[in-house]
Amino acid sequence: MTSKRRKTSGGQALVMVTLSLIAMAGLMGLAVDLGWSYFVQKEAQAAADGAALAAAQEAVLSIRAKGIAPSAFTCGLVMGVYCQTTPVGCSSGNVSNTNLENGCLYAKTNGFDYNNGSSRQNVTIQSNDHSTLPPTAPGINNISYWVTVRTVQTVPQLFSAVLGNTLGTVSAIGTAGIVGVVAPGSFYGMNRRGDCLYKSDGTQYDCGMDIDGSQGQSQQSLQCGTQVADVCAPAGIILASDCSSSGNGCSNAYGGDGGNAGAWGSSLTMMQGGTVKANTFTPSTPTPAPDGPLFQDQYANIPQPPLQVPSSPIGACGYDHGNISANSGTLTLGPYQYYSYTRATPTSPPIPDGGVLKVSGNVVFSPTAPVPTVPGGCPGGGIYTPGATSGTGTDHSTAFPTYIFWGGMNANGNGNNNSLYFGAGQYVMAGTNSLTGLVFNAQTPVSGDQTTGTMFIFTDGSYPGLQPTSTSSGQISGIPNQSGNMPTLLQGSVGGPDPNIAFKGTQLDLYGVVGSNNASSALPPKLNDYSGIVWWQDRRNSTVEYNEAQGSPGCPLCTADDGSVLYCANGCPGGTVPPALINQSTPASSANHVTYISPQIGISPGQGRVGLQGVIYQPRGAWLYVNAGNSSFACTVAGQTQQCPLEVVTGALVLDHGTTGLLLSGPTLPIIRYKAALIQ
Amino acid sequence: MMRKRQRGSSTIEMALVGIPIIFTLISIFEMSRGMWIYNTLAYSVKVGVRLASVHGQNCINKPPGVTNNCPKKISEIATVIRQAAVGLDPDTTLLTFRSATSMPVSCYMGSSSTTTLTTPLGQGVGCLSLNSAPWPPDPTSENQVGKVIRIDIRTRFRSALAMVFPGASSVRFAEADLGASSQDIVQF
Repeated sequence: MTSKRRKTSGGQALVMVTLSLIAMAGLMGLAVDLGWSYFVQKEAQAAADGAALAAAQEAVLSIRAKGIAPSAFTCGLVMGVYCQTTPVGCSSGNVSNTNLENGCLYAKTNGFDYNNGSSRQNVTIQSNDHSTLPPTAPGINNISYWVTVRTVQTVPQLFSAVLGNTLGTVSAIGTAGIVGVVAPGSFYGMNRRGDCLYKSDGTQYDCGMDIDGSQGQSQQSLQCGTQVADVCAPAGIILASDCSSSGNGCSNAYGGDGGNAGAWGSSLTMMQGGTVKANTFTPSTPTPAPDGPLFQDQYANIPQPPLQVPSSPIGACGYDHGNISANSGTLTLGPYQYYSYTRATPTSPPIPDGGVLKVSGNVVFSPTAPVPTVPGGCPGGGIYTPGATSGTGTDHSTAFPTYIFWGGMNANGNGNNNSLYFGAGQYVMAGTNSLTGLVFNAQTPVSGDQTTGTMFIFTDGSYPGLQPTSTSSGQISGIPNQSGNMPTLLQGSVGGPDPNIAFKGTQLDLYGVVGSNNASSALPPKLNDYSGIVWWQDRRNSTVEYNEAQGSPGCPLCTADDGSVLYCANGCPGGTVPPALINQSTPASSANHVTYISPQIGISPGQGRVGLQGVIYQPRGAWLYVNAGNSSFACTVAGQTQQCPLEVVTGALVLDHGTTGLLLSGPTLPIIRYKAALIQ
Repeated sequence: MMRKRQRGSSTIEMALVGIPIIFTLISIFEMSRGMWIYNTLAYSVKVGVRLASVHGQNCINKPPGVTNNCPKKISEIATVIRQAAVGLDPDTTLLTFRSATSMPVSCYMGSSSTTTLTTPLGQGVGCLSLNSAPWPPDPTSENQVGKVIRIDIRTRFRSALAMVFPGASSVRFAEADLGASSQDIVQF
């Protein structure tokens, strides 16, 4: 009996264990097989993300290499950037030799080998321009090209196979696109350890400083929301200085000095190790961040804005001694080249002298100005020389034309009832004939178009497109008698070195250019990379040496106009330029006509209100100088000084004595960079 | 006699040895289940943070003229987390959304209640009721590319483990909190 019972119970255990094994295998399958699937899914996601980003990044590079703004991309425009509107396998022939192949190879590197025929893996890829939006990332519209990668892998099941699941499938989707990305921040100071500012006698100061407010006075009129501050940056301050002790390329023991009234930002980000002077900044301790794109030129990887002119010269208007005067009426001037001339005798031919154009009276710049007739003159007594015709209009009349001012413009307003209005377009202030000259100044009320906006370019006489090269004739060849007569035009400062005139009494009211994806904007799509720009200072007008186009004068090592720095005093790849020798010594600086004061944009005393909305760009090694007497970068609303929606990119900011400041509000026309980003 | 004695002793032995064996078995099961839930929590918040990190300022602060409509609200993020968190009780799972500067927001994953609920997990309204404003809340600073965002998740883990855990007298019977969090920076 006993033995029988034992036998029976032993058999029961066997049955129970056998039955429960099935359930246990299911439970173990849950743990082991599902756990493994989760792991494989993570790998699939990484491969899909990497592949999509790689394909989009390659597309950006190919499009830029063709000189096209990525925002203006459409299918078929660039060889090698492929639109595959339905998903295909990576082994498909459609993919080979396109940017999509880069993505596929990236998936392969990440463990998804689509070429292996027996593989349980598959990678499909899909892409298009903005004509259809990515189905996997709903809601994202500011996109010119996108790539979706799907990775699939079948996972053989171990324990779950007992319950009938012999195979499981995991998949992942990654989508990347070329998207407009808003660069954060209100104020960028790009100067680093060793980057110095210069006085007009050549002495250096503020080396390694990004904000120097030490001369500013605290006063109550500069309200920054609920704060009182000379520098008001509601979207944040980003400084590239790593100075934390004096010496070794640093003038001071810090990279930022907010001065008496201080600098306020919603955030303060500084390159690793940089400090600010105690009690002059809010927040008082910078958030450190490792060196990287945030502290480089915000327009890295793209060239300087191209001129919107036909390849043959546009028409020219010459004015005696540079005087453009509306007298008591209103002058409407078209999109031409403007230059100053003198005559040796009253009857001898007019010789361009490179002098500054002195604008007074009520002057409007507009493409709707009547085209002057030959031999009739330009409005205000100018001598007209006809130039190229382009587009639908006559003589360079498009919705966003270029106006070129040889010798610069000084709207000194010689009289009463003066005003200046700039219609939509590009205004090129092309150099000065004086070592201490200015390229732009205004002492009268100035306003401008705000539907499309205006883009000012401050440069010398050889901005790309102005001078003849081996491949183009150059705009200057449209000016009569210029050959051998026009002096070399140097880089000039904005505002000028004379504190008695720089934007004295002006009320500037200018708007940056609005991207062409806004239907009411007439901006050419290829300028979308520069949307927001209201003032652009030539990158070559700097105390550091930016990379330039291959073959640029004085720069044998230059490879491309890509916004990277080749030479500087401290820590640049090419080595050190002796800082005291800008102007004559270093070949590129000399070829670029940089003088001690030319990198400066300055405003000086006398109630000047420079109200700019959009983005001011100055290169690293240039600086903003706000000097004395109630002058500030601020908007004027109903006679009151207000914060202005401006984003400032510059080397450094100096606030000199007086009630001076930089009153910014959150940018409404921010810097937008088009780049590859993961969007799903 | 000997046999009888052995049989009797085996019952007692079984009783003696069974307690730790059963405790060990239950522990293994419950620990595994706990790990399972933890992994589910971690995976689900990772999915949620990923969604938020690619819908940052460049979706919310659209450039002029652009018609993006893709900022993600807490309700949408919570829905995605819920879909990834298979097997969790949505009403006893608390999500905490932490952005760079704003106060953290806590809410119950599956609830659409607009009144604040209080459980041992903490206080919060229903996530599905937070469907009006994008997250992170400040579009000019917290949504910037590079800013840190983080989502925490906590859930009630009803377990038999605590019942027999030595020295468990102060632990509430069969209940413990499990939590996970995921942190990323805004990508786009």
